[in-house]
Amino acid sequence: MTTPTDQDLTQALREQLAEAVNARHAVSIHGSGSHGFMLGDFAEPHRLELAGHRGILDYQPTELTLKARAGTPLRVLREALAEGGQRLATDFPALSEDATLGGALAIGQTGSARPFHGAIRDAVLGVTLLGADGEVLRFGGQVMKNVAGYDVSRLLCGSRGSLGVMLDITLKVMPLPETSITLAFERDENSALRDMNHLAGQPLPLSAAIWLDGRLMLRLEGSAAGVEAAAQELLGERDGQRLEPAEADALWTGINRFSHPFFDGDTPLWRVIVPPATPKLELEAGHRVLTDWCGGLRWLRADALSEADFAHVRNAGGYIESFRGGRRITPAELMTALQRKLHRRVKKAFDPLNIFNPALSKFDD
Amino acid sequence: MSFDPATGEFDYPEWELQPVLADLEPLIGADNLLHRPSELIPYECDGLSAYRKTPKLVALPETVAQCQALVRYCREHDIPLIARGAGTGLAGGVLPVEQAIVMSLARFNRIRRIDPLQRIAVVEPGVRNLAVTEAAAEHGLYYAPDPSSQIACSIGGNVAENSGGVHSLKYGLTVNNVQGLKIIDGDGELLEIGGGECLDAPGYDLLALMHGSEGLLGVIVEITLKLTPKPQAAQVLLAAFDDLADAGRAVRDIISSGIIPAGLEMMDRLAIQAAEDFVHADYPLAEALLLCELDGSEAEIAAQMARVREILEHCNAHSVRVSRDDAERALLWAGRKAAFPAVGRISPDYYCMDGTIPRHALPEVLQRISRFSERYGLRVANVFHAGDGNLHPLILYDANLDGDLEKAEAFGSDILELCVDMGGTITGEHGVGVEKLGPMCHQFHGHELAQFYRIKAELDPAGILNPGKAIPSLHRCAELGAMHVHHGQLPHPELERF
Repeated sequence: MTTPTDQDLTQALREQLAEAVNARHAVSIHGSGSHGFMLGDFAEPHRLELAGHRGILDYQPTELTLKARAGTPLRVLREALAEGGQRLATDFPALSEDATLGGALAIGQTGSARPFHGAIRDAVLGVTLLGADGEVLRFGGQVMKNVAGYDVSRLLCGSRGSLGVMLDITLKVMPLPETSITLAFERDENSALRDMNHLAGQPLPLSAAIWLDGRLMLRLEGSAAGVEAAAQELLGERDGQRLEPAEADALWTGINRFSHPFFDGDTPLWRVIVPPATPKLELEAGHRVLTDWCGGLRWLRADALSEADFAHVRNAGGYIESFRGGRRITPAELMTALQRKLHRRVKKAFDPLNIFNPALSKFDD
Repeated sequence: MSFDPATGEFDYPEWELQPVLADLEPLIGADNLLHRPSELIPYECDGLSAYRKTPKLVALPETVAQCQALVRYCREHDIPLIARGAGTGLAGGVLPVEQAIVMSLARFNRIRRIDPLQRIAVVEPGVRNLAVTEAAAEHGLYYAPDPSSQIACSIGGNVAENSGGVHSLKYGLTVNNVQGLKIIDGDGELLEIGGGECLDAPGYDLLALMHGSEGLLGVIVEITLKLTPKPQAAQVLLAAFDDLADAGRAVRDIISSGIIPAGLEMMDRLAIQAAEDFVHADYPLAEALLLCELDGSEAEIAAQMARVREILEHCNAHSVRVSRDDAERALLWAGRKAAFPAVGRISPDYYCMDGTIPRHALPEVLQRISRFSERYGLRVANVFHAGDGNLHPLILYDANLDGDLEKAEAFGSDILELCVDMGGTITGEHGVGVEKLGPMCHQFHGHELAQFYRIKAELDPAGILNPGKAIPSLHRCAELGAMHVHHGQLPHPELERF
């Protein structure tokens, strides 16, 4: 449950953490709970609740930066930014209306704009961290360029709450585009993959390129003049159509908030990362695919993937993660022994007592 | 122990040249080891030439296996090892420390491959920054980060320093343009981090951790770079102001109008004068100049340029000029790009600072810098990456005058502390090296430094990789009296403070 008022829970969180450290029991860090299925049986009985630790601490549109507490819902950030004529620098996925900034960063996955506007970690400028020893540590800052000290802020992105508690985060933000146009072209999967990668090498204001149900869809965003010129050029060279703005909105919101019918139902959802120009995946398992990230991310719906399917993706230079349902695949399984060694050491450098989300940061051989 | 993770202190035993040479010759090859005094001179400093020290030995390995052998040898023998690229850094990041071996990666200068369809280049660390852009040009692609030293600086060094450039507001820093690395860790093991051809990787973002770590956490031996489509066109606008505050307002208004310029640069009167005397770019003499570059399609540039002109007029700009072709664009940029050497002509020495501030603080920071300038009796020229708040004050001094260097350093230190106090940072893109170890104590308190030591101790357990750079020891901060006391507790009460 979230409370409507902004509040600073730093002191309470420090006390709860101190208790956990004294009792040597592990904790999991909990935002809105929208990714709870990722923890499954691994959820620790003791939780640090961050959803109440919320509020925008600093937002000056002319600085292109926004600082907010980790429990602030992304929805609240979007609304505040829109008032300033701005938005988040890339697509932050959200699984629920209450999905928090800290949760999005801890999961570290980026939506459709990834190949064009960068990963969410690229938008992070600074983080205040509650470390395992109960100290409040500040890394990075509120400015665009900063190379003082190791880049701990970005290291924390995608660390799944296993290195410490992010208390607040400073983000780089960007102006709202004047125009957004989505074009759709009938294509089979392989020609769509060739097309989208070819176009990504052209100077076009692309902000997303996906393939779904026989259609290649391109999102163009930026200045009205630039986007219109690009749309006309693309439609002049190829048979295609403009999506109505409402339809386009529904498409991109659906994909980046997992509300698109593709994500409906109980069939396991797999997240497949491959080099973007990898051709259509030839899998033994019956499946449906949504190709995002200009080919670099293939969402799969499939009941069970075979060993040959995993090998096929590995041979293409990629890997398969379980996102929801299906056989659980830990990051450690996807690493070499040396990579696991480095991960164990990073974990130890931040959390030597293994207090934070230990089940999500096991890198044993 | 050579590196003490509790305090950040280090100490290494002395070694004799001959036995070490005899050990290393079979591993690296006699021709790849430099030890005669004349051969060692080029390795005694980087771009911060006020600090020099001759290393005992320089290795120029030719293979990754030789690099690994050298890391392992140094680990076993407790010898500090400094990996070095082109040596263009401005913070003393590759200054030899006592007992160190310098490992130059100059021979790793091949572009392994360019994949135009997936928009990546796989390169060795000694490849020059500009060489990537040149090699990618035939595909309509380029490598976006463009530090001013891009003709000479190497990609490996760019990663180690997380280099920026004049286009970083729109196109990002090095960390935003690298997809994968091959590194040798402190144990001498070779491993891949980041996604490489992929846009994601399982586990922690070690790629981010390596960027800007100044060679303390690993040796970079291969880099997968993201390439960017070359914009259809680019145009630059120059405007003059009689009041610095007006120029600051213009920067603010351009950004809040929703335009992200490819480059947005400001110069103050002394920098303008020096540049004009040097390259004759036909800059108007004024209190401030603004250069605003827009890129994209012709239609987009035309629309945005009209908007920028309107904003500038509102902010009392005069002498507005817009480049009509690439030749004129190059000329308008020439003065800005020559600003550092131009200042070098009007003063025997200058000291280049690199703080970042929130943009809104600019007028106040410039006023305070001008007061410092009076107090120290040293002139200062300011060039400013206005788009991202990165300020480069150039402090003019004469090293031959007794005490002038010390005055310049104290002046610089005051500027950096001011940047931190205004909510900024002591280094935007040049790195800490040995130069800013003191100001680091102002930016970070003891617990944060301790976290940095723990990272170092885990990734380089023997503590041999580029010790004495980037992160100050607790002792150093205590001596400077700059230690931040947090909740009334010093992190290491056992240490003496003076």
